[in-house]
Amino acid sequence: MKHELYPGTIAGTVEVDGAVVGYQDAGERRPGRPAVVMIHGTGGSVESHFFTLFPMLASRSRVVGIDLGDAGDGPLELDHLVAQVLAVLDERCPGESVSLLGYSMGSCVAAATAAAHPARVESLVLLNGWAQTDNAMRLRFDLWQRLHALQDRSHFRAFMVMNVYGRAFLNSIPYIGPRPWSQVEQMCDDYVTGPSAARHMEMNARMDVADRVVDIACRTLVIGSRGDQLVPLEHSHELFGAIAGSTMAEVAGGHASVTERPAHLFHLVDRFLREPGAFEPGARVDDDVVLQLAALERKSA
Amino acid sequence: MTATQHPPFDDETTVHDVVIIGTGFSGLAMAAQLKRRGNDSFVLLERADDVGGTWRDNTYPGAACDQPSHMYSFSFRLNPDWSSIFSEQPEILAYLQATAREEDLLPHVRFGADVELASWDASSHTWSVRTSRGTVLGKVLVSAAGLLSEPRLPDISGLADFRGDVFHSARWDESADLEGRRVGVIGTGASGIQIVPRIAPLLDRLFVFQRTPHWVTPRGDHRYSELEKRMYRRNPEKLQELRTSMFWENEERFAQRAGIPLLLAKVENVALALLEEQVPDVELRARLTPDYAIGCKRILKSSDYYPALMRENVELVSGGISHIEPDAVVDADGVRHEIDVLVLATGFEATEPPIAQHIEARGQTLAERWAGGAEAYRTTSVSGFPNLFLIGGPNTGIGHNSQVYMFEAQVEHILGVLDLMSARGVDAVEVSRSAEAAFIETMEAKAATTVWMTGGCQTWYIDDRNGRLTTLWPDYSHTFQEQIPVVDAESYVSV
Repeated sequence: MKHELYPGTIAGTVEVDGAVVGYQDAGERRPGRPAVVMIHGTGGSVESHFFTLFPMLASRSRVVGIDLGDAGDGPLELDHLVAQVLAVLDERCPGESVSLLGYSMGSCVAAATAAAHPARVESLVLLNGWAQTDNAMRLRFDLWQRLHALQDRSHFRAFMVMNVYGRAFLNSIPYIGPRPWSQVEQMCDDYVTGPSAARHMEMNARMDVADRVVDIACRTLVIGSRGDQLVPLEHSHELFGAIAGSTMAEVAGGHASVTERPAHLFHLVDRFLREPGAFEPGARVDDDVVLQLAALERKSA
Repeated sequence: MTATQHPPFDDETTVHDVVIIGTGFSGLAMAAQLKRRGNDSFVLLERADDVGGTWRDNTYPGAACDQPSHMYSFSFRLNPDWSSIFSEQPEILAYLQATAREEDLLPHVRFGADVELASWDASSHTWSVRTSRGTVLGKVLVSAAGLLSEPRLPDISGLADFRGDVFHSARWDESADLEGRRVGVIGTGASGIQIVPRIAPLLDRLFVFQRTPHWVTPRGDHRYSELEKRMYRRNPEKLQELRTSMFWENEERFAQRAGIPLLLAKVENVALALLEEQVPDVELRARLTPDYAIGCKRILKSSDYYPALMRENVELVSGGISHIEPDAVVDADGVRHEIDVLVLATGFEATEPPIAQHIEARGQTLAERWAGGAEAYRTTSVSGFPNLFLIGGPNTGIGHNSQVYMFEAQVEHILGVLDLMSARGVDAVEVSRSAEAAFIETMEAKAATTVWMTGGCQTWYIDDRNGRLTTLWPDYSHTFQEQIPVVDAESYVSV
């Protein structure tokens, strides 16, 4: 049986410059909590990237997930995607100021939207994001494109599984135990990307929003993964430095934080929306909720 | 668990700051924290002869925790030496014994002291706790008597007439020789499914009496290598990272119980795949497939239970039990299963914690106060019962994460109230009825959409007197840590 992402989800599309942009709108509007608008990463979708995070957040507030579209004429530009986000906001959240959450490439879209349209974005969450593609990233992105262009996609799939997932996730199945090698091979066999992946990646290879992110005025939560090989944690530190009203959190695992650590992300985002006062600009989020009495002892010492 | 005779207390006049009932994970956490803060004025009352609570009592073959040990342990006592992801009972008991010894708690423990009645003396502001060895006095009483400590015995006619060995899983009879005998295990919950695979190879015949099938997901274990243990010993930060990862992996599992069909379907598929892989026999598989939503009852973890049922000498009896005869269990179809040894793996009293009958203030026992269902302010204190705190009481059970995590948050709340009392310079406080009621209301709102309330479950999680979810915390456990330690000064009135 095929289930919707969250009970009562309303799905639809809007058209922007020939591109069909999908949305999934779910959860209950709660007083004092903005709608969370989620933007997926390279070659992804609401379902493939926010399979767990979307329903988790929808249980606490209204959530709108955007499936980015592509008209396919000429190279893809970031501003095309910003226009798509604005179109969904006009359709689903007219006159509202929302909380924008972007993952990976989606974080570049979210940051650019927040910088250019401060009235529409009351807060921002940048997940495994970056401001400027550097040489180390470009090496990976170029190789990505060369492997993706091959007839035999097996090299590409192995390359992705290797770069996307962290060591712990490859070595164990969360909650169940050690991950046998046969399952890693299965993950490689099963790896798929969406139809626009190559066009997204071509744009990623020349991504530079460094001049834009410094203009972001809203409060921002920057979350990076310590073991991210595709978009290393330093890029989150750069965003944290560049955005005046930002707070920084680190999670364990690789680039696929949305798959590897959804509950930790949920905790951070839910609290960021629920308790703004707990996230001071320039501060780092600590792990007290896990450290418990050990943290209390440290404080009273 | 019969205690040896201990002499009566020689001092019944000292008023201790804190009296703690129980020396399991919760009691030891409370005591260790008092000690670490430099407070020596406390006693722990323990009815048995050793510390360890559940992990002292449950010695049945295969007894193990289905939470990873690095998570199922104290935040302030990480242990680099856990032998595997899911440690067995002897190792967990040894951890608790080491905690009592190394935190210097043993001089505070009164062994063989079974609590008969703890009563609040309103004039002297003290708790007077009468035990089988005499009475101790304390300003504050902490009940750490456990969530699942009192065995629940099945109500089956003829049980008393059974002539062979019969014992509850939590009171395992070490002297009973199982080798080559015919054994019946009643109950296929968390204990039953650990016992069955372990004893099956020893027996002539094993009959497994199942009332309701549980959902079972795989449990892959891993023995930590010397390489890993050495890293954890030298660099405790790596140990904390491992624990943190385990915590958030566990937390993801709550979403499955929060009434999100997509995520329930995902875990149901994992369970069904295990069943299909391990039980090729279609008829047996059908009898092992639950007909209720996954997560309704505790999701069990085992990779060796189903294979044990496939053994030639093991039979699953799923139609119910009619009655017990001196040498046999007769099932609902009238078939006699001749048995030498009967193991009652029938779980524990949970919705009505037995300790509640032994705690009394202002002329009513806690059990009477809870006649309409157990409830507490921030799960820890009860109006009408000054200076009483409960660890592991109502709404503290957690299925998807470590129970020890819950206990620590409650200990933090109690430490906060003790600080509040010192700051105010008072020796007694009580939670207000209004603060308690407001908290309970938030609990009901949380519970409303969970699988337990919507999944058509029949479960001990729900109190059948009021239809409320009184044993479980109906949310992620990280929100327990966010909400439970908080002490609003206005909620506690001085008395």
